[in-house]
Amino acid sequence: MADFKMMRIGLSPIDYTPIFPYASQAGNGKFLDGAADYVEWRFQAEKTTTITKLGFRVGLTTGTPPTYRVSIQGITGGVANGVVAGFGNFTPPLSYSDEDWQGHWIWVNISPASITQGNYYAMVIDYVSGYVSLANMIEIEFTLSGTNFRHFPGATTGSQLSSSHPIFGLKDSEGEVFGNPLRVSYDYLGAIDLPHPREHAIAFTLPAGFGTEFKIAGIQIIGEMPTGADATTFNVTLYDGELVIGQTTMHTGVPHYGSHGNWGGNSYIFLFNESTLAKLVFGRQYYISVRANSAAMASLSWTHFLTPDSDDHEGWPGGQYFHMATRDTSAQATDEETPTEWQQDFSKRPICEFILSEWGGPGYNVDGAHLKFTPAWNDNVLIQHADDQINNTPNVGDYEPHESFGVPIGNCIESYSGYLTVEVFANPDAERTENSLIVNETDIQDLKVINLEPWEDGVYELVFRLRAKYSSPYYKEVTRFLRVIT
Amino acid sequence: MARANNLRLKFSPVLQPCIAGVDPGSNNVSTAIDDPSEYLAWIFQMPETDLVTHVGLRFYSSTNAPTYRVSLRSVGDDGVPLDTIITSASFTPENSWGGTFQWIELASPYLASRGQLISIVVSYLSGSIGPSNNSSISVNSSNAANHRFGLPYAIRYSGTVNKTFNHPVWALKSETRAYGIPLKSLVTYTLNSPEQAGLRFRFEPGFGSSFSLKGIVTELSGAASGSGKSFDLVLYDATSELDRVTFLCDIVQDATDACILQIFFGASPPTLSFGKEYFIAIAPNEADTACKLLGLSVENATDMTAWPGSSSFYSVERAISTDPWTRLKTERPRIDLIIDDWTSG
Repeated sequence: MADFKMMRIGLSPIDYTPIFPYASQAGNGKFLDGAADYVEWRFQAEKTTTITKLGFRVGLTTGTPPTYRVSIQGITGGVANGVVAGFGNFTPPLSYSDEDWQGHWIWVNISPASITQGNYYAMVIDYVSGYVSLANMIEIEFTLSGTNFRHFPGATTGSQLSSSHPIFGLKDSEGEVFGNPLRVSYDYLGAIDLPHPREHAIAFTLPAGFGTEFKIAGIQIIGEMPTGADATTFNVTLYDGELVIGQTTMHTGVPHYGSHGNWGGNSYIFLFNESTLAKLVFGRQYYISVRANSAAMASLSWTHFLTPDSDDHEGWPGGQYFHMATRDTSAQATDEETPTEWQQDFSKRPICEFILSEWGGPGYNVDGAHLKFTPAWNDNVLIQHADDQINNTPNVGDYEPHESFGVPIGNCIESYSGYLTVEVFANPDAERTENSLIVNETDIQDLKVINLEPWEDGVYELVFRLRAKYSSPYYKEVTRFLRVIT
Repeated sequence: MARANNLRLKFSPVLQPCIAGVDPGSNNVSTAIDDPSEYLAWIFQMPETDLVTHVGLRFYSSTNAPTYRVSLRSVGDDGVPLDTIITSASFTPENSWGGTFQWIELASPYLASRGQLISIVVSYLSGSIGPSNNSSISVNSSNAANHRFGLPYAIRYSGTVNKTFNHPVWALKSETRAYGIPLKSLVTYTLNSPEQAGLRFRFEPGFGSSFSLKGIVTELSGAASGSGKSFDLVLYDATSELDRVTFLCDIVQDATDACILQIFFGASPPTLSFGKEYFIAIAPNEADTACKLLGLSVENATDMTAWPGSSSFYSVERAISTDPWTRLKTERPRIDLIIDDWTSG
């Protein structure tokens, strides 16, 4: 089975799930300035494992802080029961020292603590020793700020769980992260990098093993779209690498604009407007970007969370499969212009969620070319060679119907990397003139086995031009060479 | 491939199963069209290419209303509906329409394209109109105090264009399915032991071969209704119990507030099959609990086709665990599913 990594299937018709809208960038802090002060997070173990590190976010430190303890304890009567499963002591550095504690995420090594999936535990930070006062203490930012719900997992500095979302982390002996490690609750992209608008995207991979193909109808984004004053547009684009396979263009005046202030951004649902959505494949990385089409836009932003470290992404649903990517480009990617390559930023996650149109399986693995061809005569060696290029070899045998002239190749190739249509050129020149066109643009799944004219000994070049939609200026070409084997 | 019916794949580190306080029945989210110059509008992108036959409106009240016109229009670059009408219908609300959701059939269907930016506009057409002669229509959700929606959105026009940040309540329908938010009302399932309420769910068989459920994210009120109380989260198939975990209400230490709870089952969750129906229920262990599961409702079961997952996900409840489930196909509880493993075919 494929690990779903805590991703959630959302069922609500009205949903602001991707955002914690009223969270300020700072968390709610608790001054541990008394010997009786503590912070407590209550949670269920997500997995049976051994915890070796506990993590938390620090606000201020003052003076010479005392020594504190962070521990995992059992739960009795709903609260931490003092039975310590594992702990570590820590002494924050002097507040004026140059060590990065203030405003940072800290992992503390603890004595190994075994936890059992589904059981209830508490993570507790409390005072151990040393002089503690308002002038000698640490502040723990234990929740995001401001919501109307009490949360579980949750945090408290007393008995009642906070009405804000907890910030805490656990790391096991294998390095897997649990909880909700947030270095900064959210951040903005800020002003567009003028005059070359920066393109920001979520890079995502739905893990291989979930299925064969899927389609994304749209995306819900939290951010701040540009104002409409300058009569320009912005794009929301689905990419396979640098190839545009889905897009919607929105005038700046359309989305309801508002400065996010403390709100964390506004919610926008953007739907791609292709008549046929591109097929995407599991196990392959794609990008959905937001990009201003004018340097005049200065306010387009996409709110995102930051992890303490890039590998702490594993503590979030989906793990490393979802992160930010950026690139600089002066214009929309075209055949003529090559934008810079995507820069992967594993420490950030743009706040969004996908709206799925279709989800496919069962099927064959999709990894590489799914192009099948056969010569004019059914040369066994060539047929075998062709079969090898289809990742469904158990279902493809010699002389099966789809290897006969005029029979649709169908499922053997319909999943090719999300493309929809194909043109085929034989021994083409660089301009791909019509003289070399042997198959007009057609649905890939409708491509049929064709008879090629007998050829002389030597290399025979076939070029398959693939598009995500008909007549798209964006395409990818795949070249295959045939050679008669006797 | 199998239709995913706009299921949301969620990967936010922050939990929110659904909006709070979405109450189309609140007066403050409804607007009376009581002047000929006024109109209401909803701006959105069409989710799929389809032949639109009806527009859905949720009425807060209606008193000797005039005849109104509902129309589909394109949207200008400023995000405001254009004057040109694509298709329309006239309707005269009955006084009994207050508190109901109504589908208005368009005079001629309109083929809208996926992703097309389009608007629904409701405006005055004829007849007496004024404070005693009007309909008040639910424009958007209530209590979006902490939440702002930039697209889709609603417009109230009364001399000036007023775009709202609250979630719009808009709906379209074709011959085969509905779109948008055909929301009728909030619903609450008050749980007193041994009652159970929860979600019936079924993933399409084409999604894969098997999966397992790690837990849920849900929204409850009164989840911690007194010391020592608890409730169970129970997973069933059609005939038997498959998994169970107990949630200790004392952990929350609050008796009244709404809570967002992420609850996991224990180790080794059972393997479930696509194409098969399951039930996940909240089952309080004490008779005097005030625990309530929250949900949303539509007017007709077919309206659920507009919601993520379509008609495969709806509310169920029963008095005792051996009773058959009462299937509430016009309601959906506030539950998101946390998937553990997922296997293709």
